[in-house]
Amino acid sequence: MDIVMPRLTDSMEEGTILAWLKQDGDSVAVGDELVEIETDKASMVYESDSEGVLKILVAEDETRPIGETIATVGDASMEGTVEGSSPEESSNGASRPLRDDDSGRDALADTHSDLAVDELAADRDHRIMASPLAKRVAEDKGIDLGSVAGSGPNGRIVKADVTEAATKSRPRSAPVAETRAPGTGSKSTEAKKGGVETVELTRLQQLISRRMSESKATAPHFYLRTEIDMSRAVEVRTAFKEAAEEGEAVPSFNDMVVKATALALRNHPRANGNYRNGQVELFSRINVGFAVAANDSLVVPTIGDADHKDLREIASESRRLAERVRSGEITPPELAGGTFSISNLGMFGVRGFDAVINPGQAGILAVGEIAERPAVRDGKIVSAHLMEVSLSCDHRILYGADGAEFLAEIKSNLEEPGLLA
Amino acid sequence: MAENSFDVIVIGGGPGGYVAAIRAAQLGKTTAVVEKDKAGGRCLNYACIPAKTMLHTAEVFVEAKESEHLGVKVTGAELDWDALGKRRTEVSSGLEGGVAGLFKKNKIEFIEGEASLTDDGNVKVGDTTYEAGKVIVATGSVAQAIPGVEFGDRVLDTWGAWSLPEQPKSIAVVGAGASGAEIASAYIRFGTEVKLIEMLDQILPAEDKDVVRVVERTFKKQGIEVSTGTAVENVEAGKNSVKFTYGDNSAEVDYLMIAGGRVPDVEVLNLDGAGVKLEDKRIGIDEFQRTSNEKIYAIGDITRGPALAHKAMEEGIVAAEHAAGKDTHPVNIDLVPGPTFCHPQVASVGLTEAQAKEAGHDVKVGKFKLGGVGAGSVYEDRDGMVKLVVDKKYGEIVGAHIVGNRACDMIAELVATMALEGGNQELSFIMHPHPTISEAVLESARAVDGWATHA
Repeated sequence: MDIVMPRLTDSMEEGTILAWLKQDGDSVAVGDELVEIETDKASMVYESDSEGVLKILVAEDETRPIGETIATVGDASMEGTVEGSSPEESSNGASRPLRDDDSGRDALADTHSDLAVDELAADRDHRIMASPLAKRVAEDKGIDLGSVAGSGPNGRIVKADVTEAATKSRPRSAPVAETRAPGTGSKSTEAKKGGVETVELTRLQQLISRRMSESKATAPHFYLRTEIDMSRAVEVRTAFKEAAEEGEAVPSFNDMVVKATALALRNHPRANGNYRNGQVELFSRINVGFAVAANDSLVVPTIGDADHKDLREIASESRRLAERVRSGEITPPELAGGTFSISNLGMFGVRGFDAVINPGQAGILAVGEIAERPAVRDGKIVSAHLMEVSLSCDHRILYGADGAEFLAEIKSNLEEPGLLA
Repeated sequence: MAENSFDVIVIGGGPGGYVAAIRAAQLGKTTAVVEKDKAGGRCLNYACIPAKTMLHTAEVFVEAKESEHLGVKVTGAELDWDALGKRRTEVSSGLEGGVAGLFKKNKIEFIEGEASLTDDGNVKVGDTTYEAGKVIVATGSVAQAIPGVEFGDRVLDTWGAWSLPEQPKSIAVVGAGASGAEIASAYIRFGTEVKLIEMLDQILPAEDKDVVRVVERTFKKQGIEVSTGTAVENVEAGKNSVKFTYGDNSAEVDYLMIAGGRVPDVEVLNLDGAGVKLEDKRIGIDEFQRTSNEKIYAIGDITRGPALAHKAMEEGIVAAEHAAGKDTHPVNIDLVPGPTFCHPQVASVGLTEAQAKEAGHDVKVGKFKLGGVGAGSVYEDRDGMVKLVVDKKYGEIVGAHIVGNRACDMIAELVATMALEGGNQELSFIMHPHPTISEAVLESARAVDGWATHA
């Protein structure tokens, strides 16, 4: 039975074998951990769904497109017959994600493996199924056919698909480095700038670089900046801290920003929307993502229905998600479905900054440090806990006045934090 | 499963309906077809098939009389009208039996009677209500007379034209679309005097001008009196003849045959009650043939597009697959081939040169006469032509037009090429068997870029 590179996230195009957890020729049983795979968003361990002798076809550190066979599991004496097994069988049956503590996960994985089968049919032997006309239009417009979803039978790409792709996005270069020989992660050459060390980007870093460039290139950004007096919020947090039981998560200022933003999003549906193909999509749920730095990369775990959760719930959920990011255990569903994002660099002492919008969202809130600074209140200089924030807006969906009202509501929610708890 | 309950009920057993039913049954759905007349519908019993049977005899008759130069001497070739009528009936009833056999093989229940929709989207036949998971409406169309004229003993619709009990001495055909051209073409070769009268300014108004020129020349050579841009008025049907005026002329013929168009057969269906909306007098549908009532599908002549059996059949497949919950691909309504079985045959798909220009295409054209390939001489098919209409930018074939004795078979290749989005560049390098008329298709593709090898 073939084990193929599974499709684990919407954006995954290929995966890297981080480690084989069984040796070539080992007997494996159903449920044995087989391989650890790095995707564009996380790394995961896969277990065997069949028993037999493992034959490894792809070495560690190598990268393969989804759907490609990476190993076989079968009777040792049956070797050589595995070629006849159909890709449908193998991609649906042979491997299944482990470390799965999200109940929504199974369904997602199944959908994706179906997708993988479709893609496999379309992409057998690396051949992209596209009509002659589609190929000519793609060449003319500089569209990479590998990035186009085909609407024809078995995913065949037709002219209309390419035309649509051309209007949707600017031409982009080949999705990722095609091959990466094992052990050639970096190399040095002599140059005028001294020794050059070339560092290969991980899947995730490649994805981030692509998404961020796409965002800046396609979404017209503008920025609204304000200063928020967090003095009352500081008091509220202190009260939480005192009331908290041992081991209980105390809401951070960031959790308060999440809640204040979620409540403001309720009244500003466009800020919770998405500009897509010349239309605006407004979402009924408010899912706030917050950027977390981890392992040379950046991920944005999401707190679903943040407007319905109280500060304590948000606090414990954000703590749990951040830990899972750092330990590399975060799963795609925990990273998906965000409708708005927050980026907070306050803990690094950054006073204020502008953030790049996560493509598919209307804006992002960049949050600076909270510092005691002089403020003028009723004509007197007083000391206040001030925090600078900057709201980046996609002008195609969120206009200046709308963005300003939205930002003003976030500000008042934080300056009068009684409503947040 | 209750006795009167089906996953899919198809209303109408014509080419669209019976194909839809077979597909639904293949996909494991319990299926019934309601038909008020005969399995196979109008196409098989009253239109396409009988017409082609008659046209085939016309062809054989002419060959029998005019083959001396081929080395075949036939004396005393005569038309036997009764034998012709008998064969026409036999061909249809044979095929009707074939459809009935397919129903049986696929365990499709054939319900005889006139169906209507109930308000909750089930199907009523007589006093019985059948519960339906999904309904596919495929009731087709009926012939339409021209303003101020009613059908009668001497004023006939197309079925009347094909089922005359005796060979007429003279006829006038009103409307020179595909049906009218076929009737005229058959009767002139039977030896009847034929007037073909069209209100628009060309015969075969839907076809490309270059193609029509070839047909009109042949029609006139055969003896058909062709009038275009001419309306028929003052129709007086007598006991033994019909009098009428057309333009500045008047005439008296044995029969006036009206091939003016068709209207959807939807009156008795209770569409309003079932929440099925009409758009532009036909049933409105989405890409998967669904009507405004999600449970009810509509296919064929009652929906947008040309009233052609093959269009109905493909729509039937899409409707059945969608109704059965299978992923399917919508019919491409721009790629419905239009075949006309007059002599010479005419077949086309996509846009005419004029339509392509109007649609904003930067057009280049490749034409190739059938006389340019060897087979044209062998089979005496030299006057015909293949014409490709191509958008310059990518070589996209936006229209293909063939006139010649085998045009209706040959067009299939171009439908396939266009459906697969091959351009004239690809077609120029696809081998065609020699010696066949199909080589002219290859040459027309090369002619687009000015390098037809036999020109």
